[in-house]
Amino acid sequence: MSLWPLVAFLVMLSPVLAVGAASVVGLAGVDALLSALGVVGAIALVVRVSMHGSVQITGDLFVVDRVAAAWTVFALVVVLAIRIFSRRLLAGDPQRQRFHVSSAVAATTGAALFCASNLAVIAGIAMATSIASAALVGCRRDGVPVARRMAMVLLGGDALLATAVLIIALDTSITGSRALGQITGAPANIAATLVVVAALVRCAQVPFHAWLPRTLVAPTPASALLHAGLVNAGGVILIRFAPLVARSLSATILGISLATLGMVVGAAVMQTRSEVKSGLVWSTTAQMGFMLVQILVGIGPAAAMHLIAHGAYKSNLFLLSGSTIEHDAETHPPITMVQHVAALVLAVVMVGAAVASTGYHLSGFGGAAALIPVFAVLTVHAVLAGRIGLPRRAARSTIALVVGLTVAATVYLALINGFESWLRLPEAIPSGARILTILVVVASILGSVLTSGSRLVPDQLAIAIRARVLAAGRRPAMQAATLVSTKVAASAHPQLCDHAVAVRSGAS
Amino acid sequence: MTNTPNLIHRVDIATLVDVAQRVVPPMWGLDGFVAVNPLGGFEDLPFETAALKAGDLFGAQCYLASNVDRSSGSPLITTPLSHIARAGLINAPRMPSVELTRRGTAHVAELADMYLAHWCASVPCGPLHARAGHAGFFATWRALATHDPDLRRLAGRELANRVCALPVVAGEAVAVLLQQLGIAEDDAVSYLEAQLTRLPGWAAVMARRVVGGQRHAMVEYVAVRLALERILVDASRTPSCVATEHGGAPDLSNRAAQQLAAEHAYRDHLLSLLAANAHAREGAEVISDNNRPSAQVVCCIDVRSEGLRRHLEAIGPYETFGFAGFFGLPIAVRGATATAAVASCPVILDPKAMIAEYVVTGSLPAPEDRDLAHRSFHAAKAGATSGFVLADASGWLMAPRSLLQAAMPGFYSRVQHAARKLMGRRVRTRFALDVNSVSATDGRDGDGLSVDEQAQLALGAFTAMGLTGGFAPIVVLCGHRSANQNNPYRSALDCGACGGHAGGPNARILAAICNRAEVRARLADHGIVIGEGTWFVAAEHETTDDTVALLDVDDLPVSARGLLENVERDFARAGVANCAERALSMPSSPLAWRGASRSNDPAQVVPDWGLARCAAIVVGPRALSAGLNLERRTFLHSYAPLDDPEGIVLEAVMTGPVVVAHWICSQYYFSTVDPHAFGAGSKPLHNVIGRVGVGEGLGVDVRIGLPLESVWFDGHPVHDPLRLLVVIDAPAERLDAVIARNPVLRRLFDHGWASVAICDSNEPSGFRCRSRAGTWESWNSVSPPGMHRHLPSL
Repeated sequence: MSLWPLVAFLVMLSPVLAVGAASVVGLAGVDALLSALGVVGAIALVVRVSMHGSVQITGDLFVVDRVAAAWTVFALVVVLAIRIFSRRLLAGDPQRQRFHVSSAVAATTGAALFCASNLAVIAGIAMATSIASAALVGCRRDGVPVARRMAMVLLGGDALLATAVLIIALDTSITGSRALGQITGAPANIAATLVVVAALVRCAQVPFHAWLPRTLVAPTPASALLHAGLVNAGGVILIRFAPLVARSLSATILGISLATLGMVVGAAVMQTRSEVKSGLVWSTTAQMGFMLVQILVGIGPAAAMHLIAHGAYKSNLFLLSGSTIEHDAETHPPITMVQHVAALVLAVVMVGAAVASTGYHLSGFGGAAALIPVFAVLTVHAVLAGRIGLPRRAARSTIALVVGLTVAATVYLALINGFESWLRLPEAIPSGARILTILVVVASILGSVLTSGSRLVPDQLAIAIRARVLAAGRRPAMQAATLVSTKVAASAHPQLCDHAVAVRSGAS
Repeated sequence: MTNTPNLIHRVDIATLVDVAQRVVPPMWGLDGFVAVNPLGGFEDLPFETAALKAGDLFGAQCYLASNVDRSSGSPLITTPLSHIARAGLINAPRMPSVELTRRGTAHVAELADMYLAHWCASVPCGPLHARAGHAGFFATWRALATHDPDLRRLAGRELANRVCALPVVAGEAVAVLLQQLGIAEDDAVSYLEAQLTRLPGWAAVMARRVVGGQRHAMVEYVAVRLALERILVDASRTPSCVATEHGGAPDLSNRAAQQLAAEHAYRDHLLSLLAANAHAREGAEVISDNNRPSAQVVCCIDVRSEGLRRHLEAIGPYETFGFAGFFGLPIAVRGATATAAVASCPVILDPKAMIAEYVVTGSLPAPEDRDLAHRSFHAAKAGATSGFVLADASGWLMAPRSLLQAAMPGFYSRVQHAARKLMGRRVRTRFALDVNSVSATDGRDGDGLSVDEQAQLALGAFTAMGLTGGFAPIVVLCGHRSANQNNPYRSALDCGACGGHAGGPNARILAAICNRAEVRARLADHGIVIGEGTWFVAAEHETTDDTVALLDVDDLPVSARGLLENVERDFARAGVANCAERALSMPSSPLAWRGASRSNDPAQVVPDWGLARCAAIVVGPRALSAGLNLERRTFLHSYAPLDDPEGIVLEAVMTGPVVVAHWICSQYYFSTVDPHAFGAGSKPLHNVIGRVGVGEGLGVDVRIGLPLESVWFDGHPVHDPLRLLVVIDAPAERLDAVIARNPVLRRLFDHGWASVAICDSNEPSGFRCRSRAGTWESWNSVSPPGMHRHLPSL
């Protein structure tokens, strides 16, 4: 018997073991040390898996394949960073131990979900991650009502997933995620739809998104962990079920529509928020929409990479969310149409060069892979638009920027290429992937034009849209504020709960 | 004043709002945090009355809760009953209940709060703003409100009619709304006060905008608030309730007595130390006069300077002075890389001139080229369709970055530093002092000051700090700043006298002024003779790790630089000693503590205790307090009582630094006694709102005051909330005259917002204390010396 299943098991458990050992020994350093060992173990797993194939733990209940190993490494690195960070950040908080414990449990359930292979195990672990993330959000007493509501919403989504698993089991007696591509017929359609809705709930997609903005009740490191890993659960589930979902056009179209809506609404609300963390939360809704779209049009490997990169990106932005005032406030002059067009042309040329030089392959995915270069063009465009038309003295730095962005685009596309061929995910491309991709691109560009107050939109329409975007951003916050009553807020400072509360409740 | 409808005029509205907004002092924002007394608008009431009224309006408590141990780890203050009886508080009459007229139900008020707070933090129009010509806050709301699905659901089809019926001009709208809500003119101020204190943070932000020149900001805000109230009151099924009556006011006399007792205990402790010191020094006077100091050091009055000065004096023959850290320069400063100037003087002053920093040697990149990577990243992050690939492409670098910043912040910042050094050459900069001195390098010019103005400012500074002769070969002007990472409240740790900015620029400017021959000639005309062998040098005290950097040293002649080496070395030694002393009070084990690791650490919530535990300001010659360990709790302002028979300098000190010290003390006091109402919330929950302030968790309002971790740590109070004690070495008559001339001071001292004691050599105890009625009573040390509180063990 090989040692690898044991290694994999210990790696999954490493966050919990680390926190447990640290609280027994009474040294925070032990936590960091054991968590770091977990990372080392996960890296060893990646090496082993890419050389000798998947590691099975307890039959096929948990299988560490390439994607699971990659996800686990990433998750444990980010968790390690967050946990070291939070030891100091929360030093002044009397309720910090609850955070340390719940974050470790959440990390372990997350790692277990990455590795889960049996359908019933996936559904069960999904529920465990829901409860663990709710516990993380409720790690301060004033967050408990919000956490309770969040757990209800997430478990509702998980119930749909469990139902889908049950339908599949009753219909075909398939229990492993590997054979999902073989299922056909009406039950498959229903199961696929249920899985898609479950993933939308877990990824905070409109109209199931309201739980995510409310999680700001938790301290910053809890948000960092939530946005790095736990919102991704929907993506993990959908990647595992992708072969099933790709066969159901109705489920695919439903998912793509709502995920695209999430991309548009999330980005639009993000642009109206001046609160840093609220902006990050809404951006997560948009990013998760993008990830789900990638899976649903069939480019799962790109989504698997987005899951990792976005998690690292967002958790870092959360941890450093106090730094935003360190830079000069900038006022941007409005960008003219000429600048926009020039930047777009330049961006197409730059990304085109990157596509050509990396041999980024479009053919394998029914045209869906074009999604990545198109959005890369939009990104380059956003960076360059403000710089075109600057005085000549800025020319040198603009050239440096163009070169730098082209190199970055090349490296990025090469990275996706390599990751895709290394991952060997089962193919899950829906019929009509090309058309669906075009529709997504058109819808998201149209949405961004309509919501950004561009000159192309008539004034009255722009005002009406803006009013609705503001309302969309307000609703979760208002519902949350009613959840957290004055009384609970006062109990956040238990030292002071004598007459202030009496005065406060009497005054209103 | 009649009560007939339709008669509250627009002009009156401006006045009404002006009067009502006094309940919320302006909040200065995160890029220049300035301490204010959160109850500044109540200073015309006695403290105890204000505590009741504000407690009611803000839903706050204004005394430390009775179950909090002020000084964990040391003997509790047991105050003799005589103290309390003397203050006449035991049988003080209870205040009548403060009656407020509030319309609408609690639910309506809460809904309006949430809606409005969210609205205030929104970027409502983006590019639309300029195009649609929506100038004001109210006009923007009015344009968007008719489309608001939430309001439409609440108010039904009438919404559009109702909103459109409101006048476009905010002032007129307020008049109409007050009338529609049925508020009589006599009640209007208290009604508006109640409305403003529902969201004290946002009201304070608007008050700041009013001070900053946007005259209508508050009226616009009130208009939106009332319009919401109107819509919500009409929409709510419950009939709008009139005049909510409160139960009797809580009896706080017990708390007031405890507070006074704590203050008396501290006063007794401080005064007995000072008295013992005076006694000990009587004989030593002659010897110290013969010892000419090798250098004079002028530090900020900030409490953190006390430690540095004490350690420096212990090392060598240094004479130190305390002076407001803006060094008397009412200026705005524009850094070489900054796009705009910032006021580098107390907020009570208007900058008289803008001084620009320019590059002497080396070159800075053009503004378009600076921070290219950072700005590109943010351009992509802010876009609606550009964030997706950005996250994908940059995320790979972010994971190691998080890990390095968390585990090895010192290493990370060294790498960052080295990278920056590699990119840009070292530049030498100076300030353009003179009028019309356009710097050749970047062509941007400041206002500058004429030589006469420069001399006048220097003269004012020297007179005010009592340094008018006997200059040492080296005079160090030492400002201060705090280095810390990822801290929205970083400016709260910088120099308050410089408007919440670093103190280095002002020190550099005054040093440069005083080294000019033209200025010295003019000073000599006024009797201040600075010898040719005397040089002024600027310095900056970094309060996180207590390093002191000497600035612009290469302007000095070689002869002076030799002396500077000693000064630099002694500063370093004093810094190490001060840092070690501070380490004992920092919230981690002393062994693991290094100042430098705190200043680089993005996870650090307590880079520096700031001005926590501040309690008193001592105005007088350094001899009064020299050699005493005042535990970094006192502001120290130098004052030479013999040189100021008219009390002109005293008046400037009392109306300037003393008032500012009172603000700081009050800010710390109220943030400590009710962190929920007057504090900025816990740092791990902060949600930075632009540059305006922070929200906490899901809380709706922008927070005022100081972060929780600055005053409470791990469930224990760090700050000992005391009202300011002013100890002055000046005759009572002179002080009486100054107080009588200044209503600000009368309010503070007559109403118990601060207390004052003076040195009096005729008294056996050495001190006299002023009662609220203005009489002077001799101070009797009741508590034995030595029975004072130590730093809380953390």
